[in-house]
Amino acid sequence: MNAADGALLDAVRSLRWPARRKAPAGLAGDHRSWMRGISAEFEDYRAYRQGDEVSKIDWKLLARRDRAYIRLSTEQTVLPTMIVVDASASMAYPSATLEKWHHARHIAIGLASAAHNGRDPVGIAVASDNGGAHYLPTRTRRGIVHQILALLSTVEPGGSPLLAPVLDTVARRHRRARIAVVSDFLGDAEDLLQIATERSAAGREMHAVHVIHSAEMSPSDRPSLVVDPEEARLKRPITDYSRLRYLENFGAWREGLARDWRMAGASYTQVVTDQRAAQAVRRIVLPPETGSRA
Amino acid sequence: MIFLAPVFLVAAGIVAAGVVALHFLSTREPDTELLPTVRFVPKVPVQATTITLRFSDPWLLALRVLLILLLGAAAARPLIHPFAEPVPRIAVVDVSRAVGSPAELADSARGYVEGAAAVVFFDDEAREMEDGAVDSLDVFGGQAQWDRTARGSLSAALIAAMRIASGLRDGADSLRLVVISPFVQEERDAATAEIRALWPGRIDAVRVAGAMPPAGGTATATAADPGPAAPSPPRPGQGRRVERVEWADSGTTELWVEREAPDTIGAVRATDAVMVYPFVRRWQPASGVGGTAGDAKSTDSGSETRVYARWMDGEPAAFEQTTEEGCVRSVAIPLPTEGDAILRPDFQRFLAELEDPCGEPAEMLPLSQEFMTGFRGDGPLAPASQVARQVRRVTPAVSWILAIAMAVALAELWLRRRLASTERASRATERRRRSRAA
Repeated sequence: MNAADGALLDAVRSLRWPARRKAPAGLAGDHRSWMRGISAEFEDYRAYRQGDEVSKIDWKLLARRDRAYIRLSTEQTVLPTMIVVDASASMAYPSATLEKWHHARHIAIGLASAAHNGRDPVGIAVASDNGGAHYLPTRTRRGIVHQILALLSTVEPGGSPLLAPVLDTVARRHRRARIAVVSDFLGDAEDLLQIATERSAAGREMHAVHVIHSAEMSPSDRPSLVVDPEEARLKRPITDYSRLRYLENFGAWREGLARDWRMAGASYTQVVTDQRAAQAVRRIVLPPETGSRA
Repeated sequence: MIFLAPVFLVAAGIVAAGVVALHFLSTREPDTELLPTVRFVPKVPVQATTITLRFSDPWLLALRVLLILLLGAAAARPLIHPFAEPVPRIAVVDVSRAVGSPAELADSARGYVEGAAAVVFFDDEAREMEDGAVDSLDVFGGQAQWDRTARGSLSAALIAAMRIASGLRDGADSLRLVVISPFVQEERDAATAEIRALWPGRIDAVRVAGAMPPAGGTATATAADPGPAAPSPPRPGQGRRVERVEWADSGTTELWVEREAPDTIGAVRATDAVMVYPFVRRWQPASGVGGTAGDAKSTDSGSETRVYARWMDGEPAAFEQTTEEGCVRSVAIPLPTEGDAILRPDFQRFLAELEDPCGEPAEMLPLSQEFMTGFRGDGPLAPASQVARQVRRVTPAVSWILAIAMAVALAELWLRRRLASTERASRATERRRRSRAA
């Protein structure tokens, strides 16, 4: 863990990651559950229906109103959180500093920390061609965030791994988990969107964290030849004309990506590297009405 | 080296200059950077052309210019001449039947053949001896008897010598032509004098012994030339006078029988005399009489009969029959009765030939002194500039130049690929260096 990682963990220490929709039933936690039970926190009354347990009838209310009501209370549960991180070659940008990758790594750590702060189990899966499998299942124990940090420190982004199979596997293994995808979505974005759409329709909470380097948002004015790090044959020149068209195309693509993910019922957050990671994590985890959205 | 089509060399120079100019135009790719979102950059050409003030890729330029110049040189049809002597010598050696002594021929010719730029042996045809001429002379020197039967032709020898001289003229000041021959009558023809006139200088004529000069011949020898060798024994009747001429129309000869159906024929030839006239042919050789021209047929009485004249279709027109004192010529040629044929020179020459001595035509007689004087000439050696230049369509130099050009093309390809890989490596290094600096 370096100084930047420590500063990040300090910055998100008090941050929680509340669920945006009711969570499936599980161990007791901070998130509202689909289930209504017998906990002490009163939520509502409902008229007694045949088959309800007689013990749940509010007898005092029955005495006052002469009608039988069932007392409802809200279940609080934990929400397992899996973070899927893209470690393809496009994330290793710029090649000298890997600033984009480090930013994505910090965001993943910040999200894990925010989830863990709410006593949620948290795990991580990294899609990478280098170094084999990088996977930690959801855990609640102390030190899981540091394990995640240590795992991410061993990853060297490169190659052209497919993120969709990793996401699909994670979604099947962790059926209750909230899933956050940290990626630049320059790979198999359509497959990711399809999986996210299916899982979101099934009631899962899906997050798309789109990491963009500031140089991608605004390439240099200097004429140059740009090459795709994942496909060396893809070469295009940057000129005044092509730069303008690039900005148009890239902007339109980002807008379309955000629209598609949101229409799929998922959360979409765009993160640029010139923003602080802690601030980006805060925007992701806070509800829309309290956090600024991209 | 000379070029038959130098315009191609000039064109190659112009093209090479264009290539040099193109090397000032440097087409290169701009600096390369990584950008993950490159797919959103529109597709436009990725090369930029700049004009530089220095040669780019000098080795590549040198190879390309060399390649173009080589191709131009090959197309210009270069001629490479071997090291030329100032006065190359062409030795022309007579190996025809006219030679009397092969040993003497070998001794006389060896001095001229050794060191000669070209050697020609000739009889009825002339052959340039690429090598082995001296060895052939050694073989001739070991022969006791000359067994060659081909008639010599000075015209053919001179033509061959002039053709060879065309290839030797470049780089030479003068050309020396030496002819070693008995110089007998049969080796001369009507074109010999005119062909001799085409040689623009004197000819060194070395006379050797001839074969079988006729008795009473008029062979002449100068102090510089060896005289004819000792004569071989003449055949019966050889060189003797004609006793009489019998005409078939007179009915005194048994060599002819009357033709069943007379026909007409357009010409008759006896030795060198040819007479053209619409003759009515009424006689034909009697059975058992005839033969090929020049071949003698012996009879039981010891006399020989040979064809002396023939019609133009090859049928004998006159015979010569030897006798003890000479010969009798039997002629089946009717005298022209119409027109002025008997007044024409060819008829007069034909009649004169009938008076020639018996036997083979006197063609083994040495050529006259007058002819030899004209043959030798009295001027200097032939100036090389006056000898016609030989034109060759293809020379070995072209194939060599094309082979070199192909090698240069391969080298250019190899160098171009190597430069490209080196440039890629240097760009990658530069990119890493800039990244570390960032």
